[in-house]
Amino acid sequence: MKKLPESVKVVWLYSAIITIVVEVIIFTAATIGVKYLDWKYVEYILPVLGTILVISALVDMISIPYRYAFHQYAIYDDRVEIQNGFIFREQATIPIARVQNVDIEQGPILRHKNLYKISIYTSADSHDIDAVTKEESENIKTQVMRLAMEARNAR
Amino acid sequence: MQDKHLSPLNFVNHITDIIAAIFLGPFVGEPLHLNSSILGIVFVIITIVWNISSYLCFTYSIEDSQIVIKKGVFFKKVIHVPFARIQSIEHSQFVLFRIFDVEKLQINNASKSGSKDQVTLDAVKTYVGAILEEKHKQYENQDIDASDESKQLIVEKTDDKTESETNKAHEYAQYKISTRDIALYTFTSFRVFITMFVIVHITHGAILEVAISLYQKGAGSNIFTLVAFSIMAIILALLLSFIYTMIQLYDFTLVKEGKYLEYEKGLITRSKVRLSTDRIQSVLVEQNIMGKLLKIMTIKIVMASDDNDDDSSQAVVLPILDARKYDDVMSAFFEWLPLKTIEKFNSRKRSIWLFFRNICWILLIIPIVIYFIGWSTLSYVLVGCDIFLFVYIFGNAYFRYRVSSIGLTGDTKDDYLIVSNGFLFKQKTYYVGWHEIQSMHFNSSIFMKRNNLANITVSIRKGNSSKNIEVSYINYEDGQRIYDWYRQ
Repeated sequence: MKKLPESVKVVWLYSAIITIVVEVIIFTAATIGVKYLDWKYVEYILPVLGTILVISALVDMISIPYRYAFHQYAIYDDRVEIQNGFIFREQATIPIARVQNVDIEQGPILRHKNLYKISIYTSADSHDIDAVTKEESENIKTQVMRLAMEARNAR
Repeated sequence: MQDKHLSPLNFVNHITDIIAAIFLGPFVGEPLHLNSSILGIVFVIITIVWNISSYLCFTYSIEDSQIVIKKGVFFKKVIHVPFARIQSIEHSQFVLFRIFDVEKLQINNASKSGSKDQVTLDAVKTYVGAILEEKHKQYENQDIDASDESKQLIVEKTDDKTESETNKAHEYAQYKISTRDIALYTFTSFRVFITMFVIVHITHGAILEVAISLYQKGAGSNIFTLVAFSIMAIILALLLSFIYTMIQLYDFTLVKEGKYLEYEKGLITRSKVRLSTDRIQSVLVEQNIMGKLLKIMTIKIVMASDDNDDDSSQAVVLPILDARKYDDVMSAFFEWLPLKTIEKFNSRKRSIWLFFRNICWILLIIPIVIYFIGWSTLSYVLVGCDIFLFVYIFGNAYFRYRVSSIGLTGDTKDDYLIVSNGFLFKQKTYYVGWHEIQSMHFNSSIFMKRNNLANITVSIRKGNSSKNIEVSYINYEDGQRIYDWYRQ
């Protein structure tokens, strides 16, 4: 089982901070706006909702080392395995023969750290590996697609 | 056939558009203080012009290896569907179109873009459908011959005894629905209550008011007449839903010929689907609590299609099946399914409590409501509801514990997983082959692991997306055993 690159922690941290900042701005603005509108119940709903969302983003931020420690993946000749979480532990297996396509994405924060996000699609669902390095992403793509072609032709 | 237009009868399908346009006139006109009738006429003209131009822009060509559709008035679009990629073709024929020999064709190629690029020929002569079926069959056979040799070899090895005989027996099977079956199907499913609800809903409760006034006029209000009146209402609803089911399932026929399944149904709109058995993602056996008492069940097949509606992604193939004939019928229609499990793991007894615990917060809603609105006579009714809810949730938890299980028919990749779970007193058993499972999840939180429990979730293809089948709270080692089987 492979771990994600260490720098993914920074990526997660940035995205958590951005989420918190955006949420705080939106909900403060909305709360002030609603105050002027004199809308009776919405006045209470917005701050409560905002607090919940910000707390959940904070929990996300605090749990970064934990998430990092337990997010693992492995690519074998016939299957891809992804593991997540310790308290709520989840393992997923995708046989290579079921893979339809592999997507490589890169958002602005990932680009800053030169990392890529990988999504592995079957004809029914998709599975993500949150971040890998550039060489690793190319490796995964070629390896998975090559194995997928072989597996399909062999069947 | 090159660049053919649809049959002009296609305009019949669009009459509703014109009616909608007429109603749209006053709807838009009145709030804007415009002349509603002129606006209505303008809308109707726009609709007609639009329909005619989109009719003229829509053409289809059947070529050697693919069907090509050209459509779009402003944004031209060309869709190519190779015959080898077609999953199934749905034919449906409106009763009026039967005279003109015209039908609607829906071609399922199960692309992930789903209904956006769905290929539907709304009104074409029936011979077009026949040509398409022929081509589809031809290409499908080629596809399978090339890729499935290894699979056939295995089958030959295991079937040592007089193979040709067994094959012959499996060549043809037919099922035709009887009126008795339709009646059983209506009365054992809980659709009667759904029918009642739908009727009340679409009439905006007007029917309820009529019923209440009728009741007050016709009889004094004592408890006896109330009960009699309710029973009558239920009987009426039963009758209506029976008629509705009768129209839907009229002359339902399922035919198995070689490796093809074909089913046909309907009175007003008759639909027909023919599909190759290796396109089936999973066979599903449904049985609710009434079905358990009467020993009957419903068989459905889960397919990949362009639509997520139940008709094309999860079709009923045997509405009523007597549990005593289960083995015979299943081996006649689905002979590739091994029905016997070699290993079967059930939910643990502890799951009764866990299923109950996961949902029991619902019980808190009523006490909270009572706390806020204060205690009144209504509260007795609410408390009654809460007690009923408690019993219901507990019963549901017990039912889920009883029916949840996961089984294997063997150790190899050609074996099947038999997953059974239940919800709201309906048991669903899925037969899924190793090759049809898209991915498998194994999860167990640390709290569950301490109690030696695990969940398995199997993801299969259904419609244009996925279907997750979950078995909860089985033994950790048993879950690991299933997971290892899949990982081999």
